[in-house]
Amino acid sequence: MNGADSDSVRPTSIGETWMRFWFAPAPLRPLAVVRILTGVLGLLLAWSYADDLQMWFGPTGMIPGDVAVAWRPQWGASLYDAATTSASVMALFAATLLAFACLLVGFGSRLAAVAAAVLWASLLHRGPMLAGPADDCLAVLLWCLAAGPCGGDLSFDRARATRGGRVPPATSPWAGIPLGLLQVHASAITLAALLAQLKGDAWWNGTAAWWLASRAGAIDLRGAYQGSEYLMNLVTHAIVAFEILFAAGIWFVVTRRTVARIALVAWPVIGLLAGEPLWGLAMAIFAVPLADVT
Amino acid sequence: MSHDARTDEARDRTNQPSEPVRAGATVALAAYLIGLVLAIATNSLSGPSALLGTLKSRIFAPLLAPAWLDLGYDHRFTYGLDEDADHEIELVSHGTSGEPLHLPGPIAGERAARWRRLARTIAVGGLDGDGSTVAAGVGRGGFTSLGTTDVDLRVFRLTQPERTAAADDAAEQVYAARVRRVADDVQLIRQEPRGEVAPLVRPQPRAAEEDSP
Repeated sequence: MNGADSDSVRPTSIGETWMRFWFAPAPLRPLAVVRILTGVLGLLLAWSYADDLQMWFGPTGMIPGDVAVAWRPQWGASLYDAATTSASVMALFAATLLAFACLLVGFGSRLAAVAAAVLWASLLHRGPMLAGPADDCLAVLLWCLAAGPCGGDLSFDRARATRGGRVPPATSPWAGIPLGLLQVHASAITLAALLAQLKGDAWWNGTAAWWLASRAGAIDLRGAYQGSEYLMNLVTHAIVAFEILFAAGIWFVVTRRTVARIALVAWPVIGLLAGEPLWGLAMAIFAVPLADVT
Repeated sequence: MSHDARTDEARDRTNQPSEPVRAGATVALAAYLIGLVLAIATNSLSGPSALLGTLKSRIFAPLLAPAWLDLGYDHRFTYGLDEDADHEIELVSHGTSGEPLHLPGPIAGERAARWRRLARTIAVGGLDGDGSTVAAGVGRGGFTSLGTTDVDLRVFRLTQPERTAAADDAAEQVYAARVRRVADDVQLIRQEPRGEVAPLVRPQPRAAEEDSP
């Protein structure tokens, strides 16, 4: 299974491995921490829409509904398509913020996760050309949380159940699915990003760090890179090397915890270097359950 | 082992999902994982193969796309190409020297990043076409902000200098259009860069006289 405890007994067949990975009882605390961090990330990302919401999606906004429909994938759909007034757009957006707040404090956690996932997907489909890498990762995190008992710990739900005389368990056989999905996505997203990067010369000839530093929002290390080409090369290759290490390392018992703990620092740093700090935070959230720090 | 832990383990054993439930969950998980692999394989910059594209679009896309999960996650960030540079939008009332509206302007963070993505979409376009439909929408949205129904929209690329060059960042205009409302219609008149416009050839009057009998 994805948790450290389950590695003590080795499964003997693919079927057993599968069952242990997804269905063995797992602690609820890591999922709760992911829920809280996802709530924070969701509020930060949603807030970046707040000031321009009407300017983009209002009745006379810059992204009319028909343009959004033309740019989204064939099966894409958005609740905002039915919001044709400023008030209805604002109401849907307020509901999104409320869902993230409920997720953060663990109030009606499972329902909040589903609502946040649906509302977030709707917001992204309303303006697909505005979405970035952090938005993609948030959508995945939300659906992972919706797949399991994310409010079983560190939550208002748990406190309410305890007050009612029902002490909730610290583990659940249903926690394995969301934790497993988080691990699979952590590796898959990293691998996809790595493959995309390695199609470009800049990631091979060591200049990618320079171009990243030139982007708005990134830490501007161009002065340091001008002083040392080797430093620029080192940063570029270190990002690639870390991504390879992370994508593979989280699947081996002996390396998982160490790699995940490195990732808690490395992903935010890469996010800052790339000018995508919230993407870095999102990737670090994927690593939290594997780091076993809770 | 504490009493609480033993109690939890006993409760977990009794709460174990039944065989049919685990079988159902296994099928759902396996299907989703296949969908995830297909989504990554078909959403790369290289484009999908016919086989994988058809498989995904017919079976998995109806489930993945509405949830914003039909994604390639190909977060390359940069190839060092011009189109990877930051882009900005400028809107100004047509034919006047009014104050232009710069987007994102002085704002920062993720909010500014969204404006830059919108600007880049206009300049570079998407997989299925150019960004003129988006430009028309942005221009129309600018009517309210600028208090007019006729605007000039320009997109600038903040060109990145090479590491070895001493040049500063420079803004290069990569898209320009006039967007105006005529009756109830919004018209977009694209202004092509001078180099992409074919020269107008006029007949030479003297040559015309020589050809005549």
